[in-house]
Amino acid sequence: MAIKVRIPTPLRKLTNGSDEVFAEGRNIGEIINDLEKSFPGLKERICEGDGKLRRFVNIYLNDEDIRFKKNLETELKENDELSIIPAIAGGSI
Amino acid sequence: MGFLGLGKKTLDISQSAYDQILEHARDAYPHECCGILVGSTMQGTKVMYVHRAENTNKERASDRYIIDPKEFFMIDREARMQSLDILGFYHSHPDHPDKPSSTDREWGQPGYSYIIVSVNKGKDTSIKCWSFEGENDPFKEIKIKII
Repeated sequence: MAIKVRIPTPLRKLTNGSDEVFAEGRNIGEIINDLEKSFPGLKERICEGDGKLRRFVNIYLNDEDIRFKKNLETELKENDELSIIPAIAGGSI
Repeated sequence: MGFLGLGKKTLDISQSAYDQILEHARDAYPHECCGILVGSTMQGTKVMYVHRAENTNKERASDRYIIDPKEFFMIDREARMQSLDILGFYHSHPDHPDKPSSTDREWGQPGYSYIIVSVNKGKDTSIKCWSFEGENDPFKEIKIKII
């Protein structure tokens, strides 16, 4: 099942400039592994070495944060869409 | 011009969007404000409008900001419907310079434009824009051009 994935600006260097790509998988972890096959280097920008989501990265399934679902094990159905969202933060000190 | 508008030398912005950023920075003082720059990279990097975001870091709002990912998601979707994109973000530094701090660099993302507004005693402001390309590169200043 092909799922549409929204790619944010900082990762588009790895997707040849595409802001939306498609990947196959039954859950989000599988989608990330499939993305890595098509776009080598993408997985390490999304996941830590232990496979968990990096703290600078959020993933939304449709309009919900996957941390409030089953994280990378969240199952997918047809027409679902994923969005990779970078954490935006900072401060004066 | 580099990849995807990276390596951009100037950030074009309308006078009204520029003024809205300064107004937000003064309104939020002594706290940090933050917002999202929406626009196009078709002909240079051009900010079409700005979105006032909520600073969700309530505990340290005087020297930190966080934009809720949900707000990012909503504005990204709105931008896409208009064939626009999120170009970057703005935030203020109350009583601190308009330069990126180590915290800004730690949380910074390559390819985005980061406008920083210094607000001195709630009134005087100065504004600069910064960006970096590679994950380990330092921030470099980008000229702001009011169009």
